[in-house]
Amino acid sequence: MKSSDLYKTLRTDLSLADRAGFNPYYRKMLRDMQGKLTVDGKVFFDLASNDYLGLATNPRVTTAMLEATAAFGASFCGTPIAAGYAQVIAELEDAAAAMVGLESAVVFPSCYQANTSLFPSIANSNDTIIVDHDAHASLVGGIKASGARIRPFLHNNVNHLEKQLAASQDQRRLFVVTESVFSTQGSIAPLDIMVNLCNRYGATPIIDDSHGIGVLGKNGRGILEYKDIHDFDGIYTASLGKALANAGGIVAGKKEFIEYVRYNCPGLMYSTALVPASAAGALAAIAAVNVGKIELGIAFSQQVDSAAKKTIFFGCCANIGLGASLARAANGGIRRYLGDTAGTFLSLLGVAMRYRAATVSVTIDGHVRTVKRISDIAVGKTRHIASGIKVYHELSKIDKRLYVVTVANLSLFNIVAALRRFYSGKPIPSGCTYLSLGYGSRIEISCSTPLEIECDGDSAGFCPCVISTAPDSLDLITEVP
Amino acid sequence: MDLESKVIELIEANTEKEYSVSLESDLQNDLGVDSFGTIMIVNAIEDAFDIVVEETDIPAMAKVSDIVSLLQTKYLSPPKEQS
Repeated sequence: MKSSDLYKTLRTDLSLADRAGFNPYYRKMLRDMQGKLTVDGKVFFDLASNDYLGLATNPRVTTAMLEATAAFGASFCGTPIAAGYAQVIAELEDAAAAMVGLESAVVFPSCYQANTSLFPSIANSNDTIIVDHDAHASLVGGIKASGARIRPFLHNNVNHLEKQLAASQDQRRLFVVTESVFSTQGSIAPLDIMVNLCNRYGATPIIDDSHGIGVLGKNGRGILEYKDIHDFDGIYTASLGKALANAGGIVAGKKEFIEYVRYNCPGLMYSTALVPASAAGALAAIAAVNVGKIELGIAFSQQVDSAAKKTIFFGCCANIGLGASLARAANGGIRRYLGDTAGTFLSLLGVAMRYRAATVSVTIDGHVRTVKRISDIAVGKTRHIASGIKVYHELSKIDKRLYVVTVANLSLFNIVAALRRFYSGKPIPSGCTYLSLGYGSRIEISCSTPLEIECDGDSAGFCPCVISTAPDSLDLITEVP
Repeated sequence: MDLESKVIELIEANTEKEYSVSLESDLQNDLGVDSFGTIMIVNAIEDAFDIVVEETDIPAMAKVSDIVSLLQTKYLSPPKEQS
């Protein structure tokens, strides 16, 4: 085949993007040291990155990277097995292993590379790999490349997993592969149960903790801490490019096995080693997580423009930020048959006719306010905005208090106006349907009629109700004294 | 249980969502089955009937009826008598 004919077979059809006049992929972005994102001249909140702890712009991390570059140069320009194994990489390996509670770790240039090259090094056509149906492309690619028999199991379904284990007892080597947090769904693997099943059926668990490291667990040590798993004798992989705010990946586990990986994994041995700056940055990020020194939620709040006083509104079709009772009605079957706008409108109309407006007394950190004609009420944390809570621009960067939003003066006109603006992506005008009450760490709500309270998209029960910030999740990381 | 019902039961037990599966269901378009999902269904069929499905047969398994036909004609048919 001629090259010109070859390329005709290797085209991407972008006609849909052309017709829409918009392609969401490969957008050119600028980002400043406050985490503010600029695309096509417009400033955006970055809710798409995996910088869960806001460490990518943290001075401790960025300074460590600059100092490493000044001390060791941009790159060792060598493979780790030969001339690229910088001292700082060895230090990072020790710190990463200690962080997740395993004997030893080895650093790869990326976790994708770690996953794709790990499986061909440990399994072949005589073996079986049981893997979660929704596992990441890097795991799938590595597993396929190994030539092992593949047995997917239904996502996070331990009963289906056990059936696969029971049907695989004649295999030489047997692995069970999953992720800790599935990034597109937010679901967390029941790893403790899976490990027990592996022990019962003689399988080796392999966990990719890319979205859990630095986030899950009381001290941010990842899925093993979160699930209280001790003496994990499986294989652990994780990205250093998400909560740990850098590039690279690790494979961790028993010391003897990690030595095997060092000398038998081509994706490690024959690839230029991670640059010193990234190793030092990840090391600083691990130190920050270990000593608990960075404010959670900083990734969101650092982007706040204190000069702007506008209200912004985040919402999704599943829960448009109207509070528990309204959201539940709107999420009902009626929307499924009539579509978002008409379905939601009819649902809300039903709620408006069914509920009587109430008088609500809200005590925020000891300060009492009484609001009349309230139809619904919602509470949210400033870093949890996906439920549709509206958040003010001027929130300070360390603010982690609860925010209260109420639905007031619900009328036919207000519903139509709010929905029309909501579904066209515009902010809900103040004074129309929504009324904010402010924010605090402890919010007590009482009401003249039974009113259900929503907190971060979930029901928090009926009035009277007390909602406080959760120290475990919010105080995981705090400022350096 | 007849073969059609057995195959439908296996597919229902090996797909993520609760679809109403019929002989005319298209695995990809009607049931949202992706490549990994296809492997999952093939594994379940192999386990249930104690057979090994050849990889070259998998692309022909577009509809549920295709799977039933393939099993009837190739994998579960009695061996032909020697003349």
